[in-house]
Amino acid sequence: MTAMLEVRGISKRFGGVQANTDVGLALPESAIRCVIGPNGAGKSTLVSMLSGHVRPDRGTIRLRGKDITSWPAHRVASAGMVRKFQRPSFYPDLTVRQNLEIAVLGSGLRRRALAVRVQEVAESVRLGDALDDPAAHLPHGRTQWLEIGLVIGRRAQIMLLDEPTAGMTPGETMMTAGLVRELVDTQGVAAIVVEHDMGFVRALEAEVTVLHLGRVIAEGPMSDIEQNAQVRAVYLGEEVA
Amino acid sequence: MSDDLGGTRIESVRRHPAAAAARRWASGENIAASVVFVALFYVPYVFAGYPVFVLPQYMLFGILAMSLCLLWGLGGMVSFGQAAFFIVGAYSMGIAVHDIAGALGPWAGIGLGVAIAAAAAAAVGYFLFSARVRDSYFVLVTLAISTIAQVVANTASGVTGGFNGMFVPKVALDLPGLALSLQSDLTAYYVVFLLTLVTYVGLRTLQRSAFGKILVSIRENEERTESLGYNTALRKTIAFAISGGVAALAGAFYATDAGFVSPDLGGVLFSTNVVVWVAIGGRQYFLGAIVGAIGISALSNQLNAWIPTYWQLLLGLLFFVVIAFFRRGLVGTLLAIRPSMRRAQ
Repeated sequence: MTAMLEVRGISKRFGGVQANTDVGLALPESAIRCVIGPNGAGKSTLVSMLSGHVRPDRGTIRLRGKDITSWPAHRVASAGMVRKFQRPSFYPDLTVRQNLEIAVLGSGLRRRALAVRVQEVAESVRLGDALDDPAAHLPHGRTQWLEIGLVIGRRAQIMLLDEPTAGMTPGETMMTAGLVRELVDTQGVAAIVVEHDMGFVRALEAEVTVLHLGRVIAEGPMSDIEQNAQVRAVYLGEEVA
Repeated sequence: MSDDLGGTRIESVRRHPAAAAARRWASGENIAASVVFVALFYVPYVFAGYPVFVLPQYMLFGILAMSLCLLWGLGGMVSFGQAAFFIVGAYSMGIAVHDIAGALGPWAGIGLGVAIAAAAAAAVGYFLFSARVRDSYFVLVTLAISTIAQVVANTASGVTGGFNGMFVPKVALDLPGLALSLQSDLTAYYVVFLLTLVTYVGLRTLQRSAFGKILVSIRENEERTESLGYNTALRKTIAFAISGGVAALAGAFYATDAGFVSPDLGGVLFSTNVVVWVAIGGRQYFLGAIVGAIGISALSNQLNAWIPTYWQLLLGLLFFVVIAFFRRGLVGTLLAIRPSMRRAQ
């Protein structure tokens, strides 16, 4: 089976800091891949390179066989790989409906179909009851779901979720894991999820890529990763201890 | 709660599409706009003489203000360069009327003015927005655009008449089966009235279109919009070009209506006036731009007659009060009083 997304040997240096070295990754259709690693491991730089916000110094990124390595962010998103940022990024002064409309308009829908699709997306991210609320009035956890809704509304084929549970309560974190799993299972999207929360990563039951100092040090199911001595030393060791 | 409401609304749309369309139309801004335009329509019935003579000029300022409103209200880009595009339209009209004989002249003036201004705006916008020039840097560049326009108008005296200005005759607009001579104040009034109405409706339609919504999202969070797959630089360039074209349209009609174009019309001072009109009227509303332009122009005129020495000070005070206490401007503040009517917007 050919991978939907194929990343080969990408590297990025910022001044004196080598953020990523020779990172590779292959994502099959409708799969979830979690990217974990301690602070400074290069997770966000990796996401930025995938989303077109940062251009890699070396290596290639292929989406369904197309080389998108040097594409600008808006083209990458149009091609189906849409990013949720780590920091909050939505339209606080617009209503939830208007927020989602912007995303859905990008998929080419207009008028009646637009309204129907916005409703559908809102329900899929548990915001069906808040469509006419200003987005700024949503509690923090629900703004994260709104941001996932923006990604889904744009008809992403691959969701790039940079810390989707940052600042969430444990309950909200688990609900978010369920939400991401459900979107992947029912809508056929794939996801790359950068996370700190180990409970969340376990709940997703996905393949995990571990980054350390910009390199991939392990890859596999979470159960294997947790047994990996090197991973335990650099990362889980700190968490468990 | 709103889930149920949403359901009910969808049901009622299905059953009474006309009623639902009427309800959607009856937003605060649409009602207020109807009142303003009906009032403007009846002005010549009530007042003769000076108001009918001077209001077309103010309405053209209203169109100029709307051109800024598109950039600032929708796109979040404050421009101190609107006068530059205005004067391009004005000189185009003057030059075309002098150089092209017959019925074609005025039309060529309008067409060329709008086309040149839009093309210039597109070219400048493309470089600015591709280079991610925004916020206060964008303001500075637009200030430079006004300054350049004024300097060029002064120095290219062979074309523009320099600081002596350019006289432009009142033209006649030839339409199939109808010749509208702007020499008649009444005809000029209704031609400009119609132009203002058409521009307003056109810009409101643009506001409600997908393009308008995306422009608003760029104002709110450009990075998010870009990351949702929109080429935001391209969209801002298009908005800047449309805005430049609309400003030139107003300028072309202004030239023939006022009969005289001077380099000051392209300068920073006049551009600043436009910003003041829109800020006081309410930058989120095209109606606010019209009301601001007409209101402030009329007020300046009156104050100038009453207290020739201090009138500008009073105007400055008004600007200060609006900026400090009524951020939404006059129209925005009035419309906010009835939030239930605003929702449909």
